[in-house]
Amino acid sequence: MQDPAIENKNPVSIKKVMAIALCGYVALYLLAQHWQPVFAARGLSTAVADVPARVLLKFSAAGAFVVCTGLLLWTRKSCRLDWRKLYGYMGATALVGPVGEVVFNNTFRLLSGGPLWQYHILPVHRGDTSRYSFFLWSLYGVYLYFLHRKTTAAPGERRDYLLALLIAVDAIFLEFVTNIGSLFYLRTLVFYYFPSDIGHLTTALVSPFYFLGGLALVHTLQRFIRDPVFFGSLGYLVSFTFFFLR
Amino acid sequence: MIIASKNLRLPVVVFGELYAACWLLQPWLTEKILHTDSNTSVTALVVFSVAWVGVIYGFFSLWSRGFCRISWRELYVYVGMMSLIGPVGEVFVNSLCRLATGSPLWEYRVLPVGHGDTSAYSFVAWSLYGFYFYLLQQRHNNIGGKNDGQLALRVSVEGLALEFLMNLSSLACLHVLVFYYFPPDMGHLTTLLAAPFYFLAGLLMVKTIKRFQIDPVFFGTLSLVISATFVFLCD
Repeated sequence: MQDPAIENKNPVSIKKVMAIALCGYVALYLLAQHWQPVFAARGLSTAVADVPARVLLKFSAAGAFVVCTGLLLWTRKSCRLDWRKLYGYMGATALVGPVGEVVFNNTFRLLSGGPLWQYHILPVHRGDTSRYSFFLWSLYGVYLYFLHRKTTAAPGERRDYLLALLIAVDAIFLEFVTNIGSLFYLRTLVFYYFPSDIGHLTTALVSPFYFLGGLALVHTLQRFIRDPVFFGSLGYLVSFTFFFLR
Repeated sequence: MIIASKNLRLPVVVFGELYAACWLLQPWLTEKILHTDSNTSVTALVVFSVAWVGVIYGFFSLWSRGFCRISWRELYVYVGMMSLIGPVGEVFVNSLCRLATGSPLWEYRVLPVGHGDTSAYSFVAWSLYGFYFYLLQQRHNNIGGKNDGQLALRVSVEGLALEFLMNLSSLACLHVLVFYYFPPDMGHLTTLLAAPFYFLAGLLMVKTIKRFQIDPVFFGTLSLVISATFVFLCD
């Protein structure tokens, strides 16, 4: 696979991005320990929430705006936007993400007797995933597209493993931010993690699953970008059926 | 006009034969369908499926006048692709029918999941169809030899004929229909109304398999994982 960052005029090392994300993770851990009572006071519970569609739409639009603006500002001078590939990325994450959620939460259920997380907003399939995650995973596809184009690996390094490792680290960070945002704006969590190490907003236990899922995602993306429109559409068709019709 | 008539010959012949079979079997079918048994054992289903593998392989071996050689990597991607597109397409199409007409087009009777739009057994049934599609493609040597529309037509017409035969055989051997079609035009074993959907699905299958063949092991595995999650792990 051609390194997408080759056409990037100012690439950033994957390791550098990962180091930043790890620092962020430690900071979040410390934050969660001190802010636990604050989270609890905002309505941290195991109950599924009934959020009005208009409020959810506003929250999503604001989130999408912040993410897309941030990414465009980060990459505006160095990367050309290829809409077809962006669509391929979004379709791939919308397909692999939710399927991975169901597989991993069921694996965890099998191993420990209970799930690792539960969706609180529009849950489907026993709360392992949610209709809202159709949007979330698509947005994550946008993030991955820019990240893959901006970052590069040193010669001799396994780019796929580094990217999977990066996904394992940054996904925790992004989950935390999403949950904090929803806790303060929607007064509920998007997903509730049963382990309490990071205030139920995310957990370190999910990292190995994210690494494996990330590896699958990176390899899927490598193949999907050969024909992004077809594979993006296939991904969305399967994902839509999985969320809304099954 | 000549091309159109050539393309239409296969569906006309197949549907004509199916109609004739339904007409001949009508009294037997009506009685059997009325007395179906919903408790089918897993062992019986396994034996039934293995027998179908034998029948499909035997049919193509007889047609080729020799044992068919199988490339396991190729077969794997055909089986994976079918097991993914089949159940997903079933849920999609039956939901569309429900939305458009207020009722579904079919209902699974063996190991149904969800609203009965698909079934845990459809994972096997569609894999069998993948096996059939693979051998058919081997018989015609190269999938690129025909255009997508012709292949999709063939896949869709033979798909309908196969589901008719599968339902007929399950009714005879297991005393149950794998899937029950609500329209009665073909004895509830299949229906002409499903043909347009089958054609669209066939088109998608042909286009997908061409892309999946680039990396058969990866795409075969990806499809099987997604399909298994879709059929077995979702509530």
